[in-house]
Amino acid sequence: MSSMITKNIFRFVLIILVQVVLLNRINIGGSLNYFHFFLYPVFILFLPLKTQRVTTILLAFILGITLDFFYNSPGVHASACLFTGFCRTYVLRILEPVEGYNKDHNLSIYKMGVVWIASYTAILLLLHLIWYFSIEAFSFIYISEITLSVIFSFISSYVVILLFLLIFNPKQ
Amino acid sequence: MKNLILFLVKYGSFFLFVFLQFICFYFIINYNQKQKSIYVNSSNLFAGYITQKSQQIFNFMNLDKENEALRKENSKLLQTIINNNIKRYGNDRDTTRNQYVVIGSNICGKTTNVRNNFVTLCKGFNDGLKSGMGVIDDKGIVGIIKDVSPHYASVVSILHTQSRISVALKNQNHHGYLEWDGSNQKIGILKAIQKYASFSIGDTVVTSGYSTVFPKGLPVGTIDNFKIEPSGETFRIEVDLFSDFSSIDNVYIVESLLKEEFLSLKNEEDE
Repeated sequence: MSSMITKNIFRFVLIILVQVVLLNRINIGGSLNYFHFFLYPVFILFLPLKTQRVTTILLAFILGITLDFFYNSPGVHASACLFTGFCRTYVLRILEPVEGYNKDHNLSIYKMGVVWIASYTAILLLLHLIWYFSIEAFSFIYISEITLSVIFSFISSYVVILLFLLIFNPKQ
Repeated sequence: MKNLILFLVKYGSFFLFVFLQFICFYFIINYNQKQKSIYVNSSNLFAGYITQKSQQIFNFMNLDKENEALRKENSKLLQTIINNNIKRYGNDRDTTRNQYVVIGSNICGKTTNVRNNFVTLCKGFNDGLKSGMGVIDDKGIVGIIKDVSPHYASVVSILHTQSRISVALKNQNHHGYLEWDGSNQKIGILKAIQKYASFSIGDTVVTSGYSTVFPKGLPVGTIDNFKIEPSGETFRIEVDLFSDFSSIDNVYIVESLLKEEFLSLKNEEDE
């Protein structure tokens, strides 16, 4: 149990470092930059299955606030992370396999299969991006910018997240 | 208590989510310039929209009052115009005194399609209306008040076969009287213009001011057509009336302050 907490704290730090130090500096497309790289939702997505819903939401909030410190955008990431954490339960329920989840397992490609992980990540990432860019623009006047940002950032973030999952693939 | 705890356990995560979202939005609105300005602007827009809409509704509710105020103002202006005209063209009568008083009213009912048409006003003798006063509207003349009750007045409109209004040709001294033959509500019949009068189609017919019911010079209509009466002495002129009785709504009642004096003198003459 304590090893799981330690591991997740490590994951938390690692993800934030990669996000802030590395991904935040990538800029494709110059001034019209619709490509953004979102790795940090991975932390919420791949929390252990038996994490309580309340805990998930609280952790998502903490993750978002921490990112907001770095991005200097108080509340924006926190709001999006909260939403993702809130939706996680429902998406898990929708995608539940026939035999149910093994509560002791982590969510991993090894355990759940590539298709399941790919669709699970896609749904939650999309929800996250839609919420994030809507909050960032803060007005549906910018609906076209929001849509473009969501589409392009989804592509770039999806690639980054799948790579991350392949690199840090917990085998157990 | 147990239920409350169960409730919180069941929906706690949802409330936590909503609560933390509120905190996020508080941060977003208060510490981000862009979102803050959008928030302030859109809330202004929203508030402005609400204020405007409610204002429209209240305006609509105040429409009656508003109309009455406008009618009052209009009648005041009309009164000034009428009296100034009299002062300018009249003889050296006491020029400081107004000869006519104008009262505005809206109409409560009317008929236009029978032979003897009446208009009902929404004001009666409580508002100063009396039998025998002239009624005009913004375009032309409407009729003469016949009966008054406390709150209503009945007007014999010029579309009444018994109606007889003293009129004259504009800028000429020929005068006659306007009647209605009961057929076309746009056409009045002008009679008793002497056959040596010279006029042409399109000339304006105005009130003569001989009866004190209407002040001199109010427009009535234009000459549409004319022919000599079978008797051979006078014209029978069809007058295209200015007043449109189908769309009439606001009218002005004209009262002559010198009417009593005029009538008493006339009565003495008659006796």
